[in-house]
Amino acid sequence: MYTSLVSHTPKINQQLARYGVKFGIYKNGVFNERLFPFDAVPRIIESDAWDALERGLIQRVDALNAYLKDLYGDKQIIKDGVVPSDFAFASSGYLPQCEGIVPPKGIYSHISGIDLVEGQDGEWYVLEDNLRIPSGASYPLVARTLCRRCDAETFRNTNIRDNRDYGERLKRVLDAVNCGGINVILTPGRFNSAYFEHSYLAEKAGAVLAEPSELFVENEQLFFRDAAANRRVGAVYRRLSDEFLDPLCFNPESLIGVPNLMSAYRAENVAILNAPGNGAADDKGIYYFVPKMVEYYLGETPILKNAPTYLPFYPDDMAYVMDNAEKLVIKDVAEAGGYGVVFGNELSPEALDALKASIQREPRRFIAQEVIDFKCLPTYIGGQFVPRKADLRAFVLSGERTEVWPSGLTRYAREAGSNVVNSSQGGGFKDTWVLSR
Amino acid sequence: MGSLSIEKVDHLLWLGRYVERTYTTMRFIISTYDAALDSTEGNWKGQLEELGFNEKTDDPIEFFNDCLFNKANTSSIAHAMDAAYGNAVTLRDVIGTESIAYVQMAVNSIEAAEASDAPLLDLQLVFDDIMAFKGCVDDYVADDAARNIIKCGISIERLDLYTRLAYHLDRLPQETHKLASRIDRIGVPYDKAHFKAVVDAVFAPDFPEGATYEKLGALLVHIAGIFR
Amino acid sequence: MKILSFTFETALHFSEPVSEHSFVLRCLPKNTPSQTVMDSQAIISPRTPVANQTDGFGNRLQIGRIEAAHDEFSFISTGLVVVDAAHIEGEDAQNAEKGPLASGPYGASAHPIYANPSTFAAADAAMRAFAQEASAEASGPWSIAQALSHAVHERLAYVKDVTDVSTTASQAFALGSGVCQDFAHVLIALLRSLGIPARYVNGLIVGEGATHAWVEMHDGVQWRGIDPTHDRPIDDTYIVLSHGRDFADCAIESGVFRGGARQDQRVAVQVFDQASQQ
Repeated sequence: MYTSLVSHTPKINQQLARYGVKFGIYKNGVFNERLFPFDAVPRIIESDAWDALERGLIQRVDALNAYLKDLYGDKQIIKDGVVPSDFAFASSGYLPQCEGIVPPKGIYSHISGIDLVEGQDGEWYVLEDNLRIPSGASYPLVARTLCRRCDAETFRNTNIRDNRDYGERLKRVLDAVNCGGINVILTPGRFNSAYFEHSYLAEKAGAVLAEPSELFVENEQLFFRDAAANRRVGAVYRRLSDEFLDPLCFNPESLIGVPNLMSAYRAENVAILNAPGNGAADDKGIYYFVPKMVEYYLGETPILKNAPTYLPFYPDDMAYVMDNAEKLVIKDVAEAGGYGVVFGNELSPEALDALKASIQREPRRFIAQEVIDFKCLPTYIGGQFVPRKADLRAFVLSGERTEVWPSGLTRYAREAGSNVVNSSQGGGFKDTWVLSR
Repeated sequence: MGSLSIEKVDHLLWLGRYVERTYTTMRFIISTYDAALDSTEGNWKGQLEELGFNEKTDDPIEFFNDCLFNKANTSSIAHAMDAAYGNAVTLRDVIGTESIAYVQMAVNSIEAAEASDAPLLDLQLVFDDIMAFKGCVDDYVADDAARNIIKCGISIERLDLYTRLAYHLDRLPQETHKLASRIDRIGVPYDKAHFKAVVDAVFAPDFPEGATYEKLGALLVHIAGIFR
Repeated sequence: MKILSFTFETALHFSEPVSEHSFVLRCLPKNTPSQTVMDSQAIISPRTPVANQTDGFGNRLQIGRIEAAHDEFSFISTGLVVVDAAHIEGEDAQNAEKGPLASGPYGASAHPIYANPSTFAAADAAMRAFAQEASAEASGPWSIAQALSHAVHERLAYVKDVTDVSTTASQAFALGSGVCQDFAHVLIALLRSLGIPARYVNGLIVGEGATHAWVEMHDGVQWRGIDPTHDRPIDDTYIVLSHGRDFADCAIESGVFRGGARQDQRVAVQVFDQASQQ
């Protein structure tokens, strides 16, 4: 159905360049902006499959929000022994400074990016929850508009759910938690890798784009320094990480940030999206417990699967990991991002033994997972369709209700056989079509 | 409507200035280039030296290439357009992706022209992009203050360049008039003494005929002082 | 039990005027199982509206912002506190402790964050070995804490100006000297290396003209204070202002301002035992 669309790929990419759809990257200390290559072959998700995925995503995010509220409040799940306190509080994303603060409407993760892959068995597996500042929604938003322009027939004959309302959806979330005042998108600045997205979402959500120096806190209220008169800010969708948010509460070395932002937050005079401290729930070590959170808080059976994960902390799991280390992926929970991730089958026998010894010495520090063989999507490269590994970041928005944006960011690997879909590694993106029937 | 911080006001003003700088400088370079074709002897570099192009080369091709495309030279049009882009991208929530797209296209067109075998011909696209940008701002930017600040930036830059180059001096009263009709509506503080001095100078009965090098030098100082 | 009155004054002088000065102070004592605040107030100059809040550790915060240029910033806190370190134990101590991080999720135990290393109070290999050796003879958390306090007191020399607010426990330990902040960080790191939860305390004591820092360790039932600088358990001459995992969580004064000024600080503390004022 998309064959006619694919022939326009170069033109669509030209238009994306015109609109400045870029991400920034630092190479050898120099900031450069790069175009994010777009592949016109979409990921297509059938209506029924989407409905199940949607229910699973809402369930998962609702459980994660309940967990955060509990973790920074009563800690019932820990008292009940469902999540061991060793895991809950050892996470570097857990911020004791946020203890006892209840955010407006009790929502912690307003914009959640859940990374999934479709296994060869046709099942969706969650690889990672991103509850801090997940990015990437802007790219498919721009691409969809252009694709519709160049292939009327496909879009007329295919029932694709519209995804171009992301800005309005974001605005609804901001309005739902706004404590009185304008909505602001707070960006670290022009040289951030996702600056295009920050500015684009500000435009689409009708929010003011601000850098930290344009905001200040007085009398427990956050203000935007308007040239005419200072304006109260009721909700701030911040796109800088927790440690840089408020130098008087978190990292005192930080030169950016808004001093005493946390005092306005504590006083319930401003909503911070997403809430500081969310890293406590999207940590590698906590991932294992998310299906248990669904059962614990919602009393439901988890709809979405995790990649099978083992915690050497538990003796049974330790035994399994010791016997099967060579086929597992081992992750160090203390390391962030892609660091500390080791594939057992890539290690020499000596290195594998050394790793096993470390796991036995410090079982809490590691998790082990089965390697998921995920599906390739056809991708149009060099004039032909070739298979490339691709993941999906689904965006779940929590305001008055929890909703899933009927689209997502599909990233594909540049090289055949590679599992690396990261944009900084030269991969590209696809539109994600959710069919309406 | 939207909120404008002091930083954004500054970006709007400089967006207008850099877009206009690209446009006027480019016209001036092209007309100097054209004149140079007929006078390969003597001062074929014309007044471009006034703008900071004092490349030592005697090769006209190299010289004009430097004026147009050398980003390391802060007077080049490639540099000015990059600076315009740097200001534009911080203003997406104010002027919109549609307006910014034309700035992006002008940047891309300059890069394409540099690689072209007929750069001056291809630079026509840059003029087109800039005119489209101005039209887009006029038509698309709903925030009156934002629109007018960009236009004030354009006027200030024209006054500055025309004066610096003693180019189209007869248009200075008209440009000053445009500035006067907007400057009180943008909510941006400006130096009234300098502004008055500019008005007095360009509306003097003997202007531009009686303009001397010294008088134009003094006028430049007043123009620079309006928004400082 | 003692009734203590206190006056605590800090004046910051800036070499050049600063503006847009946002600050957070923890200059007022809080209620703890062994300390009841009868009266306390803070006066901040230049005058500015001050918000009173509580942080995640249960510390009292005084928060404000001074927009206008100023070259002097000062705060004076005064009050009356009843201290009774000896007579509150067990269940009572646990119930009296306030704030979300006061206890662990299982009840009487300490919150797990106090058992993990933190930025300024993490033990290195040398410190872990030192802790093992120094506590070899001791049994039970409190006895270990006393042994370690003694060992720290022996190991570190009290020397001013060789360390600063950014010195970590392992740096001070390697240097072999420091001030009360360093003594406290080293002891906390040593206790944690043996699995004993420990936290940092800022406060005031009778007979000292400056603020002081010491340590609280959790013995499995309650928090108990110990002062490695003086190598003694805390008694009724100590007033608690704030506590946290280490210094970074509970600074008495912190601020961010515009202006590249150097700052000098003058501090004056007076704590009186009402009984000795007769």
